[in-house]
Amino acid sequence: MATRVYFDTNIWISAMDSKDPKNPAAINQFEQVRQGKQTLVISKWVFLEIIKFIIDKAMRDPSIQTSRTAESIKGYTKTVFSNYGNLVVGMKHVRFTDPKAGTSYLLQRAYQLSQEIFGHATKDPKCPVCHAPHDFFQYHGPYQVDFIHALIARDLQCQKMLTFDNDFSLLKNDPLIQPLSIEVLKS
Amino acid sequence: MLTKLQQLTTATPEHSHSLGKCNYFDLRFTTSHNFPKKGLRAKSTKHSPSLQISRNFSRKHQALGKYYFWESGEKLPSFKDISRSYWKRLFLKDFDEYMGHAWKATHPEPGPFINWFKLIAKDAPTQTPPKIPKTKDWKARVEFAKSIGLSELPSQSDDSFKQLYGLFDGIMKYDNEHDSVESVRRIRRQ
Repeated sequence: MATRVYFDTNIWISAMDSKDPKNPAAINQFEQVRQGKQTLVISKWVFLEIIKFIIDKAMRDPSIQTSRTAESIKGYTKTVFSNYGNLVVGMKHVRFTDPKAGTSYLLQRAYQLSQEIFGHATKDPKCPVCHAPHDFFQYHGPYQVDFIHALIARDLQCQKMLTFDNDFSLLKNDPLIQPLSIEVLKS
Repeated sequence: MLTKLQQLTTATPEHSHSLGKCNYFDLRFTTSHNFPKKGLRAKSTKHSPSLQISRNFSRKHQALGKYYFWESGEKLPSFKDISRSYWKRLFLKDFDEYMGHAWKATHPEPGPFINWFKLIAKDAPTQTPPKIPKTKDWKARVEFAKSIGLSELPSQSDDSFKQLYGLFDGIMKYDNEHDSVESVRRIRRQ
């Protein structure tokens, strides 16, 4: 029987970006879906993040930089997302679904996780933008949105959630996330 | 022939609805004269007394009789109708049943009638659309397809996977960074 899996948004984006170093690993997972070894579950939460990603990329497009109107951004985003959606609808072994659990219950558990799980901090002697000498401290750990994402995967009765983001490893074995298994893929 | 007519206008035993032994579908109770149009105080008719409703029937039973008359969906024949179309229908039916084979025996050649509609339908190539098996997420899938401007669901194929790989190459060409983890982190942290 096929494993019911949930792909984090970064796996979707890596598969669609040939220059991404993680592209082959992402495609490998999609191929397992195509062959029917895995049933891929997708929720509107992923679509929301894909739309946000497209809007970010629109900012680099010359056509948007020339005409910075809401209409041009809307047109760009809708066109790219429609092309994406058209393919997703045509993919075998992909299930469109959203969790039936109420928002209140979801937020309650996300709040509980945000009180329990914390990552660590790193110090960088250079500014990440201008690279000038500067003590830059960065937090490495799951954020609130990550908790919601994992909880959605759990509520959709997925057996596995696959991601490239190492921050999710802190969520492994948490009673609120179980029986979902979180697997961090290597590129 | 009256017996045959009675058979046609009489309710089946299963459809009598416990109305007792009274046969409300008896020809005597089915004419338009049975139920007075201007209230229950109908003027007594001097002619055809056999078509009168018996005074032994209560108003409730009369109403039920009217109900059955209406429920049957077919107007039961009035005396006038019997004398015209009903007889004609019965006669033609009997003729077809008993005499039709005799007519065919003496006229074996096919009739002049050509069913053009049938011939056209037979010659036209049948184009049945490919059936897409309905999955549990059918409704969500259709809803999503509508949201992106599709009028109907596309068929599922391996090509969709192949086209997905590298789909965002076009929008990423102005980007120096190709790290999905950092991109998604940025989306979630902003």
